[in-house]
Amino acid sequence: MTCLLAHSLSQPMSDDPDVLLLAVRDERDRDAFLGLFEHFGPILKGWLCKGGMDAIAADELVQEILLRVWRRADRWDPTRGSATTWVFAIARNARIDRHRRVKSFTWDDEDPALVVDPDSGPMSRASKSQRAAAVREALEGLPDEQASVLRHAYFEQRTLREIAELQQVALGTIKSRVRLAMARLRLVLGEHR
Amino acid sequence: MTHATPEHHPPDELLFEYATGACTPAVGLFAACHLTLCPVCRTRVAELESLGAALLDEVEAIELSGGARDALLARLDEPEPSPTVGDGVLPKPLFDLVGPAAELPWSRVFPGLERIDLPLTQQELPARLYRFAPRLKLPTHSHAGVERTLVLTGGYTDAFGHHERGDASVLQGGFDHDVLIDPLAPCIALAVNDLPFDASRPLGRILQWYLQA
Repeated sequence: MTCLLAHSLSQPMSDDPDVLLLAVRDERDRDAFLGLFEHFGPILKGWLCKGGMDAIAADELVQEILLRVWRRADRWDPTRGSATTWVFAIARNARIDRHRRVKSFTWDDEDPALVVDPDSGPMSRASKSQRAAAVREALEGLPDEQASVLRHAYFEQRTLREIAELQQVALGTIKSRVRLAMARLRLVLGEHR
Repeated sequence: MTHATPEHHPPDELLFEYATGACTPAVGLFAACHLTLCPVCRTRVAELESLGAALLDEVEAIELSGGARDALLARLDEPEPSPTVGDGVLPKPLFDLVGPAAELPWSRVFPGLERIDLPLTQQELPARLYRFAPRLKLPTHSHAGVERTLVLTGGYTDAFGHHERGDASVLQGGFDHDVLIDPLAPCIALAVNDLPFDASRPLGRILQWYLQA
């Protein structure tokens, strides 16, 4: 905390990850990057440990994730989604690469083969925070049986088949819980487009 | 006849496992390639990723080790490889694996069918690229597992309709479907199949030939 004050005497450092990531993207601002480190580091370490990783390995993987954030910040489009969502996707892929040790794949925004969305417009900052609130609300409104599937999936990176075995229900049941949760999410976000 | 965005999409659960990071590498490649060509599914995945972001709120934060910050800062100046540019035909994740479409090292299986194996891990069947000649008719076949097909060039018609660039077909086993390749150009497709054939059925051997071919 004190080190951030020592770096920036003129401007207070925001703790809003969207503001910080924008400064990293546009200005390669290292203080802002440290702000991201302070904000996301402990959360990501907690996420990895919650998923079963040991603390030392998690610590290293968090550094790898933040290094990727630094290197790829130019790819973040603030009009398309929040910084947290973007960082989550990077963390997810890094976890596949380094913890599961298999190859992760993702589409490339600079790909000449990319088919652009003809309809989508940029998201305003207000609508982004409304959407984030809507997602949280949708999550809270889910029945326990759907929410528990999501938690196994997002925290432990479990396949639907594994979740079915864990919960002693048919795979088809888990699939329909996922579909219902996704439909609810789509509905709620559709209202905030 | 051609559509601007795909009309056939993978099922919700495939996108879900992609978004959470649980899918196998071959399915991840399949998904990433479809997503390159499908803005609708990219929106679906973005919604799922925002759900991942929301769930991070439930996590109990754990302090990083004392040296983490300085170790990370020291790495910021490391040189990075310069990004490569795709060929506009193969989605970048696939391009990065195999190079440009025009230079693919096809192996001929039988007249009209060529393929390339993409072994990604030892634990699953390889993803495959197939190139089908125009007008090729694939015999009726059945399969016990899941068959995933993503069209990259050209197209084909089956009982589910016409499929062209970007269309993703994911079929569970148990039924037959004739496939007819479009007449004007070869069809290149990415195929990710699970357990291949039901050898007990007489048609299983044709399928075996197709999928093992």
